Amino acid sequence: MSQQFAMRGRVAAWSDRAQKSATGLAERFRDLLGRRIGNAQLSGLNNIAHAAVSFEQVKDYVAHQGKKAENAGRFDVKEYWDEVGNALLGLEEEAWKLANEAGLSVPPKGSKPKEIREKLDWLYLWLGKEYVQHFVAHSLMLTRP
Amino acid sequence: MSTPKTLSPEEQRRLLASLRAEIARVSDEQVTEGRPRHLANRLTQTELDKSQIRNLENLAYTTDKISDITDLLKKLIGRDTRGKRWAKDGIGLEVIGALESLRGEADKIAANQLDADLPRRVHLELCREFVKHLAAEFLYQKKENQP
Repeated sequence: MSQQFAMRGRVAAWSDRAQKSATGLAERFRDLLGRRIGNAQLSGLNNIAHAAVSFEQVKDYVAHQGKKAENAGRFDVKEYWDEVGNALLGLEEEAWKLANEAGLSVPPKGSKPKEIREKLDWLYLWLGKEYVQHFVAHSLMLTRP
Repeated sequence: MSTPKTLSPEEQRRLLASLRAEIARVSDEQVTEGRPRHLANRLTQTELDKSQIRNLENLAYTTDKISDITDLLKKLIGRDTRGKRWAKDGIGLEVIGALESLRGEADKIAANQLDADLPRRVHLELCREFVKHLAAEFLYQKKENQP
């Protein structure tokens, strides 16, 4: 809890910066929005991100959506979810950097991924929620007819 | 507003006083230039009611992120499927644009400071001022337009 309090300002600054990248990702797929990707899927992603207790749950949801699209032969939609998954994966590196800058005790680079994940999952999830909020908000705006 | 640790208490006090004065100056300029009044006037021509404007104002004053304010507006635009509220004639997008355009002023106010996050926090303060003026004008004009 005290770690989270100490990180609040840093995450706020990070989140305001990350909005541009999340918006860019939504813009890249604007042709799919409202047509192949509906509000229900976007709200689903938002709900999962905000209800999840671990970052793995969010990544699993996104991977599952990609798998479903692939099985249905909707390869453009699969590409969409793959890119969302890649963006989320990139947040792990961002979280590690933020934690280091804040002087939190984090396993050094090169440590076992599991060890790092156990220590930083709360921060992965926090950044994930912020990123998904930006991504979904911009996407919802683009889905408007 | 927190200040960089490397400043002495006296320097911090002076910096805060100078930031407050600059933010107040820009806030007054917003009113003089009339952009909040103009946007509020257009908002009164939508089906938005007072509570929705107050929600925006409440969020602006409780969040520590500018992106929370713009995300809320984006969601409201997205949900306005009939195009009679935030999506009407692009008014929601214009409000977002107005808030984002305050970044330039914030950068000027917080230039040459040691704290790298200061421009962002000043920008947030300017957004709060803008939304405050927007809400006040909206409520006033709504009342004026009542039969």
